[in-house]
Amino acid sequence: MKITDLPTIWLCKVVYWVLRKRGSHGAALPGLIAEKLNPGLVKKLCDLPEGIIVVSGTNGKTTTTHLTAEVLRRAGKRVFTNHSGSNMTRGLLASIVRFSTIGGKLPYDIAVLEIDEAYAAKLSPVLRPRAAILTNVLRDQLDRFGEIDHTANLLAELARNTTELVVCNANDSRFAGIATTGECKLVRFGFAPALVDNFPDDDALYAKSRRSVPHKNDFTLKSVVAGKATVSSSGGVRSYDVSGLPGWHNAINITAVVALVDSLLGESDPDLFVGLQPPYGRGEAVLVGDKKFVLQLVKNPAGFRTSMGVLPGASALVVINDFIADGRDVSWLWDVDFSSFADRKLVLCSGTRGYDIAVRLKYSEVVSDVEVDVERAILRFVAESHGGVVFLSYTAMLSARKVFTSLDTKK
Amino acid sequence: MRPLKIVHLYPSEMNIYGDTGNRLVLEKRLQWRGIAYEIVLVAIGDPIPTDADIIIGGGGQDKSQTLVAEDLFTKKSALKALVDSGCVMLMICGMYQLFGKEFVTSAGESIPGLGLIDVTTVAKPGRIIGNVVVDMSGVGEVVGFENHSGRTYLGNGVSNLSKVIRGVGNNDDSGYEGCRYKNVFATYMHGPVLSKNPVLADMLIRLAQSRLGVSTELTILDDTLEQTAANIAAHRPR
Repeated sequence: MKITDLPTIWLCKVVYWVLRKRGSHGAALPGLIAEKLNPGLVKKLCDLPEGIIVVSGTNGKTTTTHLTAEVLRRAGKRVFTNHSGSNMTRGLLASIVRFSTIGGKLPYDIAVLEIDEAYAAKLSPVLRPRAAILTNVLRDQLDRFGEIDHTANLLAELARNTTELVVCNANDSRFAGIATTGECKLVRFGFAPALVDNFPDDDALYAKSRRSVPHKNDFTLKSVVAGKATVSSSGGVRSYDVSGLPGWHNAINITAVVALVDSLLGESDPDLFVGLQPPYGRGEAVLVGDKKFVLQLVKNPAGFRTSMGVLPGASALVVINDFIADGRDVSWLWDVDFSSFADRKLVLCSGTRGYDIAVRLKYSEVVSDVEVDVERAILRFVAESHGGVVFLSYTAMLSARKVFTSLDTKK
Repeated sequence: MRPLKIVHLYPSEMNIYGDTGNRLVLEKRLQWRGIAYEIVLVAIGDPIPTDADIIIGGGGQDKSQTLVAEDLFTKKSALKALVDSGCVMLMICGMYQLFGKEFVTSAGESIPGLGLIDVTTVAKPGRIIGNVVVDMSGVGEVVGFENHSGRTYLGNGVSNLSKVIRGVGNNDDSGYEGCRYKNVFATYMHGPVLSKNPVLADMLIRLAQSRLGVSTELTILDDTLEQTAANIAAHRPR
């Protein structure tokens, strides 16, 4: 430990404590202070006895991190993890100062970190993760990352700096060139060819023919039947409970977790997976009276397309903001096929770009209403619908959750 | 009158910024008015229909752009004949660059373009990204989103398409966005550009019709939603 580490930790803890007392979440400022004073504090994670697991990629980072951390916890490990949205250096530092002891120790066995693609490339030579999960590379925040192929290169850099195990999505053609160095093992997971229609990717959207997917992976998702996802590997065929995790995207997330846990711990006991729930805002269910609402984060065309199947036919509220964390550009809404929205009872649009969605829907012959203010839109949606899906861009998800938490009757 | 033929170039390769929406906007605005139309998708290796009325093309990844560039050369004479005969074209971003005379890479290497419009694009560090508002002659205020690292310089053979009110446009110095040559409209504006600018969409339709000798006025559509969305977009942070 460096001599400056302890004062940084203390100062940030005090700031965090004061902010909490004043009713704020208090995550951002301590991270900012730590980054200014002592960015090298991030190396504290390297001292954890069982190393660091990094999860990166466009979609599924938060859910995969959350599920991996939960399964490892159930396997008896003390797991350090960062909270969703805190996936850049600043966020990692905020979690480190918060969860360090007063003596400056991190009382954990292993870290499972969600890291943004650009920061994963930057931080991996420093952190030298033991294992990495690469979820996928999809079009997302082009106003920030520029181009998809560039994002694939960032993740290749993460793979090169990983020491023991890289778990990588075999269905993503942009990962074909992923290579590991030294003793590091490469394990590929994917879905069986018969399931291809459930996983639209960017290239498949406008392609004429159905894309081909590899027939043999190290871990293959075979089917999802009655809340059970069946995964086959050289260790045999096993089924995992996904009853609390709606959507095909979650079945493939579970396959990635199985691949990682199997390869690291020797075997992934299905009992460790029973009753797993999604992290907040990613298919999370809230109850208001007897009405059920599912909060579904949508960040990009592929993510929106795969979550179209959540409560089909039910009413929908779509909230799209254009703050930096959402992406300023909302052109991507035109790469989502909204024709199935015609079957939905009530469709309401909201957010700073609520009118952009309404226009998009109009050109798919879907009639909708606009209520730009998020809180008013939610109150109206709750009153006028019998429950339904709320599709949310990132910052919209944060504000919608606050409103729904105050309405939630489950608590 | 025969159905209006809308040709979409390389929908599988050049589709990354939502520009496919331009096709949907044209399609619906024709359909809502009861004007017959036909959509033709042109992939790598497919011929260009010689009776095309409106041709659209969008932005793509660098890799796709390289693939498409090669194929475009086989279509050069067909496209040139259409440009000369006043066919209406809307070329966005990557296709705008490919229609130009040359593209100079960051290493200083010159890659020849189709040369259908008198512009040159130079790769420079730093991407131009953000909401953009322009004043387009014959249309008025147009809003879109720019995201490009190539800087495009206009030669004498083309005219400016629009003056930048907010944003950057063709390059860091000119203060203009896009270019026009005959009925070719080339621009960096995504959004997709026709979605929030129905006046521009209708102008393209009208130009295509008058080239066919049709002079009937277009039915007026209710564009309140589009205009509200455009007004909001024009005032969002860049």
